[in-house]
This record gives sequence, C-alpha cells and structure tokens, in this order.
Amino acid sequence: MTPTDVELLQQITAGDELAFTTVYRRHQARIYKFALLMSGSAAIAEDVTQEVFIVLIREAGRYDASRGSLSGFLYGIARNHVLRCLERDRSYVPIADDSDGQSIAPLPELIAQCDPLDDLARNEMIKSVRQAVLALPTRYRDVVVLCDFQELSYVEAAQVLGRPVGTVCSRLHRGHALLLEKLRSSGKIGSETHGARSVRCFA
Amino acid sequence: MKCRDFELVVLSLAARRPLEGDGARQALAHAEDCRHCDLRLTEERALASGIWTVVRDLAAEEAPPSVENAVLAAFRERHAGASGCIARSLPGWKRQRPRWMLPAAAALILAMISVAAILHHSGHPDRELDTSIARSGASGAQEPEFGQANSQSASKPERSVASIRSGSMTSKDQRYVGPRSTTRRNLTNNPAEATTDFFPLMGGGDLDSLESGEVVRVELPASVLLAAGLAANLDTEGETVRADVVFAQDGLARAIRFLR
Repeated sequence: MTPTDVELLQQITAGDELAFTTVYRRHQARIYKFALLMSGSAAIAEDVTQEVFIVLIREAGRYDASRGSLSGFLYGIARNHVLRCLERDRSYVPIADDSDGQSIAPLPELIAQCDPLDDLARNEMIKSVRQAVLALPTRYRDVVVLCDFQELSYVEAAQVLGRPVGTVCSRLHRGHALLLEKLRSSGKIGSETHGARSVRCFA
Repeated sequence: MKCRDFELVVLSLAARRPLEGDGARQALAHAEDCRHCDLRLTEERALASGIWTVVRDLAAEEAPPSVENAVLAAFRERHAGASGCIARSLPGWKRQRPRWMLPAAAALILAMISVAAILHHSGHPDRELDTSIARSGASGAQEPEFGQANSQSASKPERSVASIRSGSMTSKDQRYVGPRSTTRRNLTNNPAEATTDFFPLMGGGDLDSLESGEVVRVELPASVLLAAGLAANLDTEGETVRADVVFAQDGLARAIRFLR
C-alpha cells in the first residue's frame, strides 16, 4: 500500500531518507511547474523547488494535516519564495510582448514534428499564453496558475493562498478577464466579446 | 438561467469542471439562447484550450536531478548533524574533561597541601605529624635524621615542608625513584592499605623523568576525589582521605596518589 504524505512526513521527521525521496518525487514536478509558470524562469523554478524541500526538511513538523494537503502546504511555501524571488529579480519576468521569450520557449524535443504550421501555431499559442500569465499581477497570477494550470479546486487554492473561496473565485474571474484582454490584443483570441463584463463570483 | 448566473459557472463550464446538479445543461441551454453568453463561453473555451496546451507542453517538465541531489544532501547533512551532535558530545566532553578537570583538581590539592603545610608549620607540627603517622602506620623512627636537617634550616621557608616530611616517612620511603619503584616499595608499610596509581599534578611534568623525590602523606577532604575524577561517596563529604604527594627536589609537588 502506498504510504500517505502524513505517514511519510512522520518518517521524514525520524530521518528516513527513503520517505523524503518519495515525498520529493511525488511533489517536485508540480512545485517546479508552479514556480516556472509564476516566474517564467527555469533558474528561479529550480531555486524555489530546492528551497521548498529544504524548508520541508527543516520544518516538517510545522505541517498540520487538518489545515490542508501537503501539496497545498508546499505550494504555499513555493508561492512565498517565488514572490520573494520576483521582488528581488524583477527584471527576470518578461512582461513585454516584444521580449524574445527564450526563457519560456518550449523545449524543441517536446514538440511533435508532424505539421510545421500546426507546430508553429501551437508554439505561438504557448508563448502567448505564458506571456499573458506572466503579465498578470501576482495576486491574479497565483490564482490562475493554481486553478487553471495546476488544476486545484477553489477550496484548495484558497487554502494555499490563505484567502476565502470567494476571493479566489473573484480573482480567477478577474485574472481570466485580463488574460483574454491580453490574448485579444495579441490576436490569439477573437475580439467579438470584447468588453464583456466580469461578474463577481458568489460561490 | 440568467446571464449573471451563467457568468458564475462559465469558467467551470469552459474548463469542463463538474457543476452541481444539471448546472452544465442549464448553462449550455442558456448559451444557445444568448449570443453574448455564447461568445463568452467560446472565448473562455479558447483560453482553456490555450491553457491546456501549455499544461501539456509542461507535462514532462520537472526539476533537474541536481535539485534532488542538493535536497538529499541537505537532508543527509541535517540528520547526520542531528545524530552527530549526540555522537560528538560525549567524546568532546571526554576530551575536555582532563583539560580542565585535572588541572583544577591539581590546583585544589596543591592549595590544600599548602594550607595544611602552613598550618602544621605555624601550629603544632609535631602533634599533627604524630597523628598522621599513627593513622598511616608509617614509621617515624628516622625522624632524628630529618630533624637534624630541619633544625639546621629552621629559619628557611622549606622548614615546614621538611617537618612534614620528617613525620610522614621513613628515610628510606621518603626517597622517590619514579612511580613504579614507589609503588613497588609500598611506602605505607601496611599490606592492608591499598593505593591508587600516582596522578601527575599540574606542572608536574613527566614522572618517569623524575630521578628522585620525596613522598609526603597528607589528609585531604574527600571532595578532592571527585575533583580528581575519582569515585567518591557523597555521603562522606565531610570526611577526609589520605594521600601521598610526591615532591621533587625543587620542592614542587609532582604527583599524588590516594589511599583507600
């Protein structure tokens, strides 16, 4: 039977390296991707991932299972570190549309080579979406990344952010509105509904 | 469903998240009737499609192995460090113990010997010496030899030490020729008396290099045993223990041993 995160954390506290490795391999990818999407920098994503698990080594006892999942706990640590990194290295985030986009370009080996036109369009879409996400203010960006890219529920995202679910919903709506605006201006999405008003979520 | 209600669920609808009850069916029905909401849903679906494209693109992304190596190294260091603290503490304590405890014990013993010598010298040396001799069973038969020597140097500072020497030891036993020979000679002349080995005192140097010396028997508070790192009964705190102190020819105490 696969051990739960809580069981593994108890073993980690006792110095079980195998348990720590299991937890690391179970969660590192999503933490890395979260940091990558939030920062647009692989270097920051690596630093953040490393820092998150070093914090876990030091403060595994701080995790309270009654307050949420371990992944939520790790996301919370990651978010704090990303924001700190962004504050420190503001120039890292390529907000402008005319940036070269090298740091967020997809790896060539991951792209199917069937149809060059499709690949080009796909790559353009990926680039546009990621640039649009990076252009969001951080209070919307983290909600969008958590709910849309990491597929957390509103409740889980609220636990990570320490905000009410309603705030998460409203920020997600506002974030989507900003993303659409950005993608419209880059021509990736039609402008028929331009000006559609956002409505506050009461979920 | 109204447009306002549709707006509340459009993100979930576009992202294909499950909606409560038949919310999805109602929302889709509303979108068919409302062009604005239909376009809104189309736009959100386009955005969701773009997001999924990115998600798929990042599916294989993960932290490089160097990160795993780094955190595992940190884990090992932390837990090795935690256990190392305990492991290192004992040897460290053991290493430190002789560094400060033996000199402290030696200093304490020397101070007591000095005080005892002064008291003997200024008070009733003969009576004290007689008591010491009686307790130890050591003979004072050779006292005249030392008495003569002492009387000659009565005005000198060494006189008090000489008096103690003369009362404590026979002339033969007073000569100290290295720790082994001292033990072998059984200075106390009492076969029932057991002694510890000689402990070098602070500044005593190498006892093996000591060619000759004199041994003086003294009485000390039992607490010096603890100070010297020896087992002692705490109930006998107020009691005294007997010890033999080796004095070199320069008059410095070099070593001590205790009688059991």
